[in-house]
Amino acid sequence: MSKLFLELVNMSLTAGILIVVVILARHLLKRAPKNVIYVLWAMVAVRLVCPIAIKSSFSLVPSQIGKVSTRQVESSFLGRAGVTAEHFTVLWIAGVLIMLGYSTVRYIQLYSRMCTAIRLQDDVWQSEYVITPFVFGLRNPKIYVPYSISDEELQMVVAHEHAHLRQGDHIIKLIAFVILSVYWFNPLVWVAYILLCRDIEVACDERVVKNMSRRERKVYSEALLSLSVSGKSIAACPVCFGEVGVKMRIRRILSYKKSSLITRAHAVVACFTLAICFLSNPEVAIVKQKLATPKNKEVAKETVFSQESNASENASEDVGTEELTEESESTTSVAKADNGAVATKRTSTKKEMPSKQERVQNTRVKGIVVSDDEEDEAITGNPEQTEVGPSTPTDADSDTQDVQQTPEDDIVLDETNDEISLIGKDDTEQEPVEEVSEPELSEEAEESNLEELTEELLSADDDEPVVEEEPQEIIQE
Amino acid sequence: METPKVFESEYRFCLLLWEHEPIKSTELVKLCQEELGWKKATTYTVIKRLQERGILKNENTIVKSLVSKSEVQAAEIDELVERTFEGSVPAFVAAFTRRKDLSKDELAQIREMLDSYAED
Repeated sequence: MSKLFLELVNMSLTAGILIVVVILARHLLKRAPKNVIYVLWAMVAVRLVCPIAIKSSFSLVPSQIGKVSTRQVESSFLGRAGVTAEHFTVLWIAGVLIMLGYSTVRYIQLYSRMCTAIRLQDDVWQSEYVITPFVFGLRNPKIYVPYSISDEELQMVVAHEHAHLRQGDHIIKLIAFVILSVYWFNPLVWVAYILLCRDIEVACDERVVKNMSRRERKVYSEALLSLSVSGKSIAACPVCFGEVGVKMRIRRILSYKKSSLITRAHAVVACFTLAICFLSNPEVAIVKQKLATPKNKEVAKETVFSQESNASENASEDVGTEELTEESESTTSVAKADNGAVATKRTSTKKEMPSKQERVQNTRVKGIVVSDDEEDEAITGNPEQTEVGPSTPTDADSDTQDVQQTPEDDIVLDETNDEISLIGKDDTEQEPVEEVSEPELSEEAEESNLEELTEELLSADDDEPVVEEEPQEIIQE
Repeated sequence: METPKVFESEYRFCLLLWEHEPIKSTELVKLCQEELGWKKATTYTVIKRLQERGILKNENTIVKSLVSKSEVQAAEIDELVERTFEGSVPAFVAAFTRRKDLSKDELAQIREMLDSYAED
């Protein structure tokens, strides 16, 4: 469970960057059709929901981000005070339950109140409990308006709310709220949610108003004004008519002009660029070392692979050892070298850092001692293991790549994942992984470009030599 | 006795009741479904609620009101005058006449009411 939580933390850190970028983007794309926000925020949602992301050399996601591990927690200030990742996880779960629970309660309250609403026309209902019109209900959404609404106002409200319904905004908001409940600990996600709500309203206004005359727009604005509420409600509030930034909305409505083709083209290009740069993860391969932790009982020996990457991808973070749930065997932790040795990390099948390496494979890396049970295997290396030779990097230009391991091995190198563990055996959940960079060659230090390495690993077979340019040191204990 | 407060939705329900009472509760449910769009459970809940407040009674599945329409309306006005016009009826009437133009018929009606009131 803590593993899941840490994974989420890491994902939210990466997503946080995208959120900041999106905030900037929406500001720059002010003149573009407001519906572009759906694309922008969808990207954020994807980042938050999807643990996997493709690797690309265009990625602008800093690879240092999102590498929190249990080890780090332990060695942090709080960690030394006795707080563990488990504590945080419990706290997180509590937060999620509170958020979901609270909004469920409010939903039920609202539902029971709206029972006595009286149908006005079609799907418009009136109730004395309505202050500002809103849409409520998932399967059969209904529009609720106050009794005191005038005919003109009614017309505008209905147009607005129908536009919401057609777009599916009530569902989008619900999904967004669920995501927020999971990521409640990240303030940027709250900011994203609030801005999303605002953007949804403005986009809706735009859709409604775009075919209206000046006079009609004035009437619309007046309706908006008279029905606006000053109260803020962040909870999973049903889509409200007058809830958000009324002044700003009115200004936009009255000054609405159809955007030029160029602006729209800009918007499209911007979206594509953002998607490429931020929905993918960098190809950095950080081979990190994992420190043996006492809790890893099966650790017998550790081998440390170090690899220096060209880029300063050298995260010298401690990698916590974690026993992979799926594996049955031992995990080996690798000792961390101080000189920026890169530790081999094992990517958990859960993927701590989503995109990087998905493979958790039981691969044997030469020179890596697995566990007492399997030490020899590791050391002697498998047939699959190849020597890391000074071959020329295939991609001279790509970024560091993740080091991956051959299927049977236990070590998966994953830069983003701080955990390294040697899995003893077959991990059925593992996907076939390419080659492992063989840091093994005991004394061998090879300069390798991490990215090339990963590249190579990705495409290599078991028996293909892995190209490494980085010096590698293997420390054996 | 002080007339109990009736909320807007409930008031509309009462309007139906006053028009059709005494009425079997099952028929009332059907009526509410047609006119108001209420679910069966909602109607029964409202009946129960109003019964507790003393506005209607439900005996042997026959529903009858205990307060008349005029009583509820009067209570409503009282509250409005009290709240918005600080208890001054003339102020209320004045405000009303200022906003809406009264037709000749309406004026005549009002004059008649005032006269009969004065005679009581």
